[in-house]
Amino acid sequence: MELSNLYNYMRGYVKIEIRGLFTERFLNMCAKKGICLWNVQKTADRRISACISIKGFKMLVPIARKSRCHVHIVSKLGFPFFLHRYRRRKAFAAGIAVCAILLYYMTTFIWVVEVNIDGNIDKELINTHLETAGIRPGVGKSSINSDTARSYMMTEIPEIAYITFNTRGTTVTVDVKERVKLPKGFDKDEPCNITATCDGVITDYTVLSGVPVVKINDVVRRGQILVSGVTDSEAVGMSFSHSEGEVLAQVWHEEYADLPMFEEKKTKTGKKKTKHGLKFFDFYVKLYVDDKVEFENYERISYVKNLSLGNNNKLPFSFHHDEYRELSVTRVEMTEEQAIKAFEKELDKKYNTAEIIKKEFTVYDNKIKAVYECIEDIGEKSAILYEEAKNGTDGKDPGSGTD
Amino acid sequence: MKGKGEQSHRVMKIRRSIATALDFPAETSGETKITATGRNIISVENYTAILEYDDNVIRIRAPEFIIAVLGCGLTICTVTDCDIYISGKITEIRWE
Repeated sequence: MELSNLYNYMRGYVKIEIRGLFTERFLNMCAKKGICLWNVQKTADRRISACISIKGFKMLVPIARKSRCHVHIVSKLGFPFFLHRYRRRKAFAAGIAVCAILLYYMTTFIWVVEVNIDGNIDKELINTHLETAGIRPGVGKSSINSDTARSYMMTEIPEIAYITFNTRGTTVTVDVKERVKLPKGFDKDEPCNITATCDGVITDYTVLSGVPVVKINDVVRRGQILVSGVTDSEAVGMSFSHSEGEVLAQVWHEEYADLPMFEEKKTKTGKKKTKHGLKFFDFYVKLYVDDKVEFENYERISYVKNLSLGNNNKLPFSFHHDEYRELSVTRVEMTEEQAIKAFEKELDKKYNTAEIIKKEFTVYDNKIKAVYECIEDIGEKSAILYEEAKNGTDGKDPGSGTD
Repeated sequence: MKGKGEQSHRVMKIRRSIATALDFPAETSGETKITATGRNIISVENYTAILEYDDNVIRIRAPEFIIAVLGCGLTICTVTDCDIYISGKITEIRWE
């Protein structure tokens, strides 16, 4: 019933009162003519009220005359009458029209450029180049040519592996992926050695190419050649090749930390200050007078509400709400155990690529000494020193004593 | 008037026999259908005229009989040329 009510409201209807001796005849004639009546009620003797559509009402005159009934309008209801009532308010109607057109017009522009970067490319760099490529807030949606913008960005910033532009509503989402750099140094067929990055005891090695010059349980020093790219044979003579492989070694890392350690504890004091602002395009309108935040330490919680049509059509108006909450920062001295724990956490993070076998912490002279025993790949590709190779010191770098 | 009534009566008869032969629902052949939904709404299809309309009685003429709906606070929800919906507190439906 509700839905038909809505339909009737939109079409407009009239509530009428019919007075006369032959109201039944009136109803029958209406039905015969196809005029629909609803909510017919007997209000008094020889009087009935009913609702009728506007179109039906206009056809009532001959019926009323024939059935000798008088028809009176009780009320006019519905949207057409509402419009009729406000027909003289031209400015109001114009305002609605202008508002609708403006709103639509505004959504044909880009208002938000969202940049998602995967990798370590400077956001500022991307932004400045995007602006010259013609992708910036305030630009018409149709004027964006993503193909030319893409090729421009790719040539200007060589670190970009790919870049995509997606326009949804008034937002352009720019996804940038950084080109993965090849591990620097040597090409696949460039001759090289593998040398040790730090001191340690060899536990295992896998050599794919090159000649291993150390054995398991050998003690190696930093810089010592582990896999040689030089082969010297009677038949061919000296030849150089690329070395490839993994050399695992047991390594001891010593780390120190000063005692006492402090921990910064932040607690909210409960004092806070809020600032409100409105932003139209690039203009920020402050809704506050006092610019200063007197707190020494504070956290800022920002809340930005963007005016938007639907989810995607963001408009260049936003409401900013900043809350500054005062924090009191106290330095608390950590106990020895806490300090060791904190230090351990830090070191675990540092050596997370290696396999940690043993950790040892000792405290002396206001210091923590940590010894981490790890197994890790200590191989590093390095250039072959041709002079030394020719002099026959291959495999024995100066100062590389093997115990 | 009488001649016209007789003719319509004959047409009715033919339509009815066709409808029964083809297993159509009876109301398609112009038979009057009265439906009560709960105890507050009654619809009458294929009526010819409203004879009497009052707060507590509505008498409707169908091609072959007269239906009287008795109750109190009776209103006609909608009237179109072929059906009529009545709502109100209905106490009795009578064929006359």
